[in-house]
Amino acid sequence: MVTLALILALPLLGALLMFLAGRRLPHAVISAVCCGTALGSFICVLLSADQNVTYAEWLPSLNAAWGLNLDALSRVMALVITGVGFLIHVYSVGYMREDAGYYRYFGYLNFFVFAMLLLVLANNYVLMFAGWEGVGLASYLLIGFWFHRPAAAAAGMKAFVVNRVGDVGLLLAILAIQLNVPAAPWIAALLVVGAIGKSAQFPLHTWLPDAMEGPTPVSALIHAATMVTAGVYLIARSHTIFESAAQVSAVVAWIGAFSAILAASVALAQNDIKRVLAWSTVSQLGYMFLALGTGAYWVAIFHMVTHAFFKALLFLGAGNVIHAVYGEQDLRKMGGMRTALPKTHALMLVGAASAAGAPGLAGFFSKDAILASAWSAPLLFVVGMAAALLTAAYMTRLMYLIFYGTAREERLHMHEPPMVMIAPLAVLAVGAIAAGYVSPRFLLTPVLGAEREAGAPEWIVMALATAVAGAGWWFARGRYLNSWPAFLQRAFYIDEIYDAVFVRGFALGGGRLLSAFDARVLDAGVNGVGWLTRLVSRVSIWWDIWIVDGLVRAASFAVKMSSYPVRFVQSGYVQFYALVMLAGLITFVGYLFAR
Amino acid sequence: MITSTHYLVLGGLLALIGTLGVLTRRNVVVILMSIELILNAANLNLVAFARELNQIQGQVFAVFVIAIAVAEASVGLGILIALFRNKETVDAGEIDLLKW
Amino acid sequence: MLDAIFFYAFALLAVAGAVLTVTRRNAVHSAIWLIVSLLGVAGLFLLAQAEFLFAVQIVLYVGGVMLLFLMVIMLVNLDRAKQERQFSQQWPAALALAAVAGFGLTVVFRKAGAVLPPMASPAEQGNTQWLSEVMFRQYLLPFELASVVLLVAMVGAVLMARKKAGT
Repeated sequence: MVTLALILALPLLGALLMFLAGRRLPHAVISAVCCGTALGSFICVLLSADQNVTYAEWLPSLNAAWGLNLDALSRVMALVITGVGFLIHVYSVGYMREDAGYYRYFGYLNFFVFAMLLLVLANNYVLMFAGWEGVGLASYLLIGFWFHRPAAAAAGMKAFVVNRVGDVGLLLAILAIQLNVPAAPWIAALLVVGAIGKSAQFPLHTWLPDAMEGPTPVSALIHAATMVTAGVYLIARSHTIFESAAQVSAVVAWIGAFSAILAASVALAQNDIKRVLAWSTVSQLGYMFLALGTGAYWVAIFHMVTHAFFKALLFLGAGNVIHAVYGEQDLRKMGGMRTALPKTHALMLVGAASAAGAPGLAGFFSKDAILASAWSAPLLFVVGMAAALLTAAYMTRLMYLIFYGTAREERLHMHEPPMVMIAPLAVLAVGAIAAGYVSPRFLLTPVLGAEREAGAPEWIVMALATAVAGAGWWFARGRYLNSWPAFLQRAFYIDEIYDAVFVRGFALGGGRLLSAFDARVLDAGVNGVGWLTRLVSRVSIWWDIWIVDGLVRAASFAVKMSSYPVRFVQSGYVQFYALVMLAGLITFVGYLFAR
Repeated sequence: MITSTHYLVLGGLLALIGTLGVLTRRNVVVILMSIELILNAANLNLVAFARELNQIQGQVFAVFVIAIAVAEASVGLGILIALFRNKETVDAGEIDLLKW
Repeated sequence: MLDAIFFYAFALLAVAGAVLTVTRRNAVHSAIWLIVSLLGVAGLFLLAQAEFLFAVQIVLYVGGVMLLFLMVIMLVNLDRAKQERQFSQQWPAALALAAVAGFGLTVVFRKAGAVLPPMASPAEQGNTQWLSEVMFRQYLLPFELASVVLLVAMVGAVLMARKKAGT
């Protein structure tokens, strides 16, 4: 019970300390405190037994309370959050060393860990929503961390606004759940709206690639490993609702499959190292949604764990690359960096292979399990396979553009970063290899239920996936230097369409329509009412001036008149007072004598 | 012969002159001097009654009056200096802080 | 007879000094005329057989208080005050009130007129001895109170005339 509360309290205290006193603390103390709270939280998760504790009442009318729940699902999530979170804290010590906002960065990061833990540990939806909004806030603050760059500020804004769309759905769903509204399909649909907002699924995926304006470790922690999987967690946590809403589950599966293939194809054409990884994240989250939609909830969580390892590894590796070339993110200006960055190259190779689904690595097993769960729906299976092919292709292209071939731009002094930025990658690489062998299936089945029997022949799926990954590698290695059609580079113009339809169309066009209505219909009515009002006000003015004001003025005039003698006495001149005193004395003495 | 009335009339005269000074002069220093005149008039009366009644108590009171007059003068002049430092004036007609 | 001559001489000194004190434009002149007036009153004290008060009047008033006045006049720059009007606008009212008061006094003073007998202490003491006997026996408590008042006045005067509070 105590350790359970400590899981949350440690990062919260770290964040508060940073916000209140961080400016005056030396970097060593900040690093020690913030990494220490993340590690302490991790240990507390390991030490705590499964339990459901309610600490205090909160909103009885909504059945909301201050209560935490630790079961297999939230334990897996919390271990990923604190474990990967700790590694990224350590990495940030090296990456952010020179930044003026060091304490602010670590305060936000600790606050994010706190909010994300609150999200997964809350034992009711209302408290979970507090964590949900908390991670949104942390995400906004960290995307816009370098707020002096207009692009970063705009990206933070965009993430916030797009997330609001999803949060409306989630909020309605939570109210319906807490008030026991009997409409499971509608609640499930609203939950999906919330989940796709947070997890950047089509059609609310546009904010995630822009979120790469934040510091790279933030992209690794928030926009790859943990926060964006909150939508996956939400649906897995609500699986009982989805099990009674088959149509919504099918929609989830299709949203996932569509996002997976759309994002994978866009990732193939991106030229910014972090945008490739961002689109890859959207694609992998699509896989998780595909698993959720087919009812294989534990598989989604399984893929979420392996994805956390290899995607965080890839992002941190990308951070090392960017670090080595002094902030350059354009893949076309890299190349041949294998000799300069041997350790980073080896570690990223593990991550990329794991992501691409090379046999024996973590990503292979989890992706395999997802494809197996989709076996019964052939169309979904084919789309999933195509996305796997594209995944292998864009990972190959990414690695070749960075590390192989010849340098396309002369660079001096390329060097490996310090140990503090290598060691976390090594730990993540171990996870990216080994996580696939520790399937959480039997751990999670009691909580999430077994998947529906897919009846997929295991070895056929494995063979197909291996073949597809090999094909992707073979396809991409020969043409990694090709440039891709504009519609892929611009991500099918979805951003432009949104801009035209929602920003300019709805906002401006709607505004014009409203103004026409305003001028023709409303104004006529308003003018009529105005004429009437003027007439009434004339009468009212007359009444006001002659009757109301007259009375007030008469009263004030009377007071003013009667005040003159009193004011005259109260002059403030000491000699006048003495004169009055003398007059009074003479009057008094005269009266005494005359009596 | 000089009677007590002579002293009383003289005291009354000095007191009136002092009163006029207090009431009409604008210079605060002169106002303080006029107050000294009034106090002296009172002393004159006390001394005259002491002689008329052959009682020394009147002179004792005069000593007390002088003591209080000295205290009054020192405090009054201290206030005057503070006032002059703050307002750059010793004109009683320019000082109306007693208002409100 | 000689008493009368001295009385009128000192009375003239006192009244003339008082009038000039109140009317002089220059504050220093006022102070000088006040000294004259106070000296006249001191002479009257002597005539009324108050020898101790005569000494106190000379030493304390003429020597002490007037010195204080003159120093203050020198401290506050009064050049500007000299150029301005010397009397306040309420002087007609003040004059009228003073006239009423003077009329009242004449009405009162018309009756009395006892000839003053020479003073004689019951124990054949001199003036100062007699005064101190009474003062330190009968009026000891008021005497001590007066000393406290003087102490408070001294502290207050120092405090107020100080350059700035807290320095």
